[in-house]
Amino acid sequence: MLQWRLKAYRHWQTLTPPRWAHLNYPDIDYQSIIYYSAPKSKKDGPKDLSEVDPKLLETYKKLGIPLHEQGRLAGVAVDAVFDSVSVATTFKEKLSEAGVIFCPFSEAVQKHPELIEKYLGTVVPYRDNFFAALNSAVFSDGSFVYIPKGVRCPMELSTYFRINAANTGQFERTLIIAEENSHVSYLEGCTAPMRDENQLHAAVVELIALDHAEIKYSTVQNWYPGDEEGRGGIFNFVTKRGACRGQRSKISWTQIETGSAITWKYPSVILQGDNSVGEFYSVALTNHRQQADTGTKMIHIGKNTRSTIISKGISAGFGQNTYRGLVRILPTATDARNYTQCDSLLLSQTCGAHTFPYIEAKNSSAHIEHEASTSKIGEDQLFYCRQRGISAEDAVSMIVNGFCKKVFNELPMEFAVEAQKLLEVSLEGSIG
Amino acid sequence: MLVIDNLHASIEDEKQKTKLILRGINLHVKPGEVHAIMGPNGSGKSTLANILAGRPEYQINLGSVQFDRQDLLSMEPEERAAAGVFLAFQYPVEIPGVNNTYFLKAAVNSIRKQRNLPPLDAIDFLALVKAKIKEVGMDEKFLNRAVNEGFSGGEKKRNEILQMLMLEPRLAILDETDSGLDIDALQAVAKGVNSLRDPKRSIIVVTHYQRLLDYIVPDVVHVMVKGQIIKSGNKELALELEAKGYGWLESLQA
Amino acid sequence: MSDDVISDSHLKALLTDNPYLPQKKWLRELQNIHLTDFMQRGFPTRREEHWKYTDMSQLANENFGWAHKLEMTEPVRGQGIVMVFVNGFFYPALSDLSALPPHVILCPISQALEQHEELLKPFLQNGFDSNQYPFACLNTALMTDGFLLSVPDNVEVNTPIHCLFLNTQQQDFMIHPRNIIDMGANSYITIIEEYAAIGVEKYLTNAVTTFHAAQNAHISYHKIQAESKHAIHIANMFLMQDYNSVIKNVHLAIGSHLAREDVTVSLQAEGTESYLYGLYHLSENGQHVDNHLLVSHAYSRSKSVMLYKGILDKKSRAVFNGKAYVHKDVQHINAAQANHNILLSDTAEINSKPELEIYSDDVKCTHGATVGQLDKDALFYLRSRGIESEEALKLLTQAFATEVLNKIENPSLRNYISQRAGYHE
Repeated sequence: MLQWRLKAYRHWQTLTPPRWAHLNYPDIDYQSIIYYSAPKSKKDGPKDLSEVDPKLLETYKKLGIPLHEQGRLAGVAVDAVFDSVSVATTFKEKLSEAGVIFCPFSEAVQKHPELIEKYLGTVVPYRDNFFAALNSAVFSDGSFVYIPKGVRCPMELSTYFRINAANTGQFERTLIIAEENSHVSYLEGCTAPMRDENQLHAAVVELIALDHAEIKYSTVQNWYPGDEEGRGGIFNFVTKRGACRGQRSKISWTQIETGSAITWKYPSVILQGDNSVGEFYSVALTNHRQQADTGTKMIHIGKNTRSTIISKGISAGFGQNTYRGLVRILPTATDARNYTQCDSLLLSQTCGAHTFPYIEAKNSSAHIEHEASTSKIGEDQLFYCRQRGISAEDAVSMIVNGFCKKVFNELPMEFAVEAQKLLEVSLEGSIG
Repeated sequence: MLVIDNLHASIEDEKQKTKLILRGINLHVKPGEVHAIMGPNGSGKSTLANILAGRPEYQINLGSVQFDRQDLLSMEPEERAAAGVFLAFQYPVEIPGVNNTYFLKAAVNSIRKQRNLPPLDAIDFLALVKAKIKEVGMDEKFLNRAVNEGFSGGEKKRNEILQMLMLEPRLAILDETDSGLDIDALQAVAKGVNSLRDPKRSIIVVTHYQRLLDYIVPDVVHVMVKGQIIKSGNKELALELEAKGYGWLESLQA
Repeated sequence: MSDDVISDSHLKALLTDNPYLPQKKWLRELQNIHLTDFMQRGFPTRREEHWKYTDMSQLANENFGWAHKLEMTEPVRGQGIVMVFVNGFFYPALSDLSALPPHVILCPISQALEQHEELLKPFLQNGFDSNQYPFACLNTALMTDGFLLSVPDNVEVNTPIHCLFLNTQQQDFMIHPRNIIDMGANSYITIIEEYAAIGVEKYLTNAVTTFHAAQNAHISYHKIQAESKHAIHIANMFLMQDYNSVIKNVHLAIGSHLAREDVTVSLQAEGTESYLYGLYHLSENGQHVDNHLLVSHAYSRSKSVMLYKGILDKKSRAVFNGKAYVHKDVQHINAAQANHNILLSDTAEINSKPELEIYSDDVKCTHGATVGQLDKDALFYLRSRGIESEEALKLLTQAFATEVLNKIENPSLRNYISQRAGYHE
């Protein structure tokens, strides 16, 4: 591991930070970032809820997060009051019965080194890009999931349950391996606005699906977006990639991105196995001074592969929202099919929405369909709702929700409800 | 209930030129009455209906509208809805992703809230909507669809009537609700509207053809040409218009 | 980034030896500046986003020179008012300007430099940014001949104008035609700009056509690119539109070995409409066609439509990049882009990127792109009715192309262009 990290570090030193995204941000001083901080000492956090920023608490309340939860999320040292430990124990038993391994990455390095060695860096090698190299060199922790052959993971895995989840890692590394005929649904993030002094988050997520396996990875991201002037927000630069190595394997990315000052990520799927399927469902919201340059890459290599991309961008305030997608059909990918729908909704006169799809077809049997539309909320729709007695703000909320419906439907149920509420809260005051 | 006094209204077209549409409308609708407004295309009938509902694109140049002695023109669309104004649109818009039932419930409860009434709970609401949907002859499956998405013309109009039955307005305005409907749909629409007839409730039917008025019999018929009401009468006027055509009236006006 | 191998002196010599245009001091100065600009910038490489899929670096190694004037006696068939250039030289004997209405100016640049210098000068002096438009910059430096069309206010020219650039019987030459279409207020024309070859020689065409549409002007423009299968065709079209003007472009590309067309629409007032239609049908191994379109909506109430369709056979490759850019604070914008492609062989390739960059909210923008094959069911249907496979393929391909060809309003032009494309009416 150390050797691998050193190689990554040396490689990173040779690279220059990339600047091609449609994003505007000040240069990051990589030397001044503290790469390893001792586990956050609970003594340093707020002593109780009264010391926490009231705006934060208000948001937690609106999202329906119970009081003891609020404390934990805000970094209050909550020890005995709430029973996450017992909850955690029950699920651990269930998982071990099924043979599922779900533990912190650091633990996996100790207990399952052969798996780590076999798969780490095979989907996102450290040479892949600047941030991947950085992450490979300095990552501190993350999740490790392993589903053995034929097992359908009995419950949805969530980072929430991982012990030490309170330590939100800056350079998280996640590796999920689904063996033949297995199935897992993984939830990352939470709707609560997560604060962190560390501005740069460069995580790497690698997914591997073997024959007939399915991995569903859902993310609800609400990192602190900065104040109305965009100061102090988090830069979320993530490399996420799934490899459908096996036949008939399937990887599905669903993301709701409402936070961060800057979001730069392209969860991708490499469709190697014949008949494999890749899906990408995304709702990205940029309000105030947020910027997002996000999308996906679907690389079709095997035969009869299929990919579906549904991207819904919502821009408000001074937000800039960019969809960047790549659908690449290699010469070996016979009968590949892709359907892409990317729509943008503009909610203010000062925001921007941009769509940059790249379609590269090198096989004549490919079937690619891409459609996109950009507009503001229809006056007709707004008036219709208002004539029925619904206020303008509620109408916008309803219509925006309808706009995102297709993506929300892909989220596991509880997440979907949270996500809808989160969207409402994030859009408050943006209609004017 | 509704008093329109010398209403003048205009709109800006795509070339940014002002087009005068209503040129002095006077109309008095008493509670319990059914008024029909007929006229050729471009006469301003739909404009009048939309202005009463509060569509923002129009400029009011002159005149006033009193609804229950309140100044209607100064009220927001949702306030007018809460006051009891309902417009059945000529071209009901589609709202993808928004569930029809959810939408209805939101509307009903929003109006109840504005009237300081408690919201209907889910069970009561569902029972009510299922009963009403039967009345308009629509299949229950439309309750699970998105608002008007993929609905045929007839289904959209029935959906408008369903909403009207659920919201129980004091003044129902039907904007060419009969256009494009077959006999069955027409009868279902008429049945729905007639079921709302009440001494405290008024209905304005904007239509091009006399046919609907066989089913929804009006107390007063007005004819609108070029932004003005040029003749009013009883239901016989509609029959006369049908027989003689609009040209007859325009010659009268000239 | 200077990748070119051509030495300074070679290009400079070409400048002084230019046999096409009369010597004018201001022109010579203009050309010198542009040549220096271009040399500093160098040929574009694939590392630049706008040239990502099209390799122009090979041009740096070519040794193109000037053509010499040929003896041409055979009449050339043209439509309506005809201007013929052979290897870049204007041939009055082969042209026919008799149907030109009075007060309309249509003449070669070489002539305009003498007879309409004051009219021509400001058009030519409007330079091009070498970074964004390197080949337009090069065109100014090495300008050969082209046409100046100037239509005064309120004049409608109903007879189509046909400007034909025929290239033949010489190898390794280059032409840099510069064409100007200047439309007065409320005017109308319908025009074809055609580039064709009789043989299979290798040469370079690097054309620039600028359109200036005044208030309410209406231009119906058609382009045929049917260059020799070894030729390189580069074209830059700049459309400048004033209040309420309408420009309708229909482009057909079937020739050349390597072609790159940039169409840039700049709006200068409100109420404009810009229609960009294109059809590319590639059937030679190694053929590469790249279409880059940009409409910049800087004013309100403007509308743009892009519809490009491609049929790719053998080992051909097409690139499509259509961009609609909407500025802040503009209202009532309607922009639509579509790129639909059919791949007829296993080795054909398409790279499509319809882009939207939108900074205002009062917009209705859509775009779509598809890549597919001919409908197998339709093919079988035709064959089951006795139509042979090859003929059936042709019929369906033609049906696919028809959507674009139907945008040509003038029926005789539509006929002509369909035939040039190899389709029967």
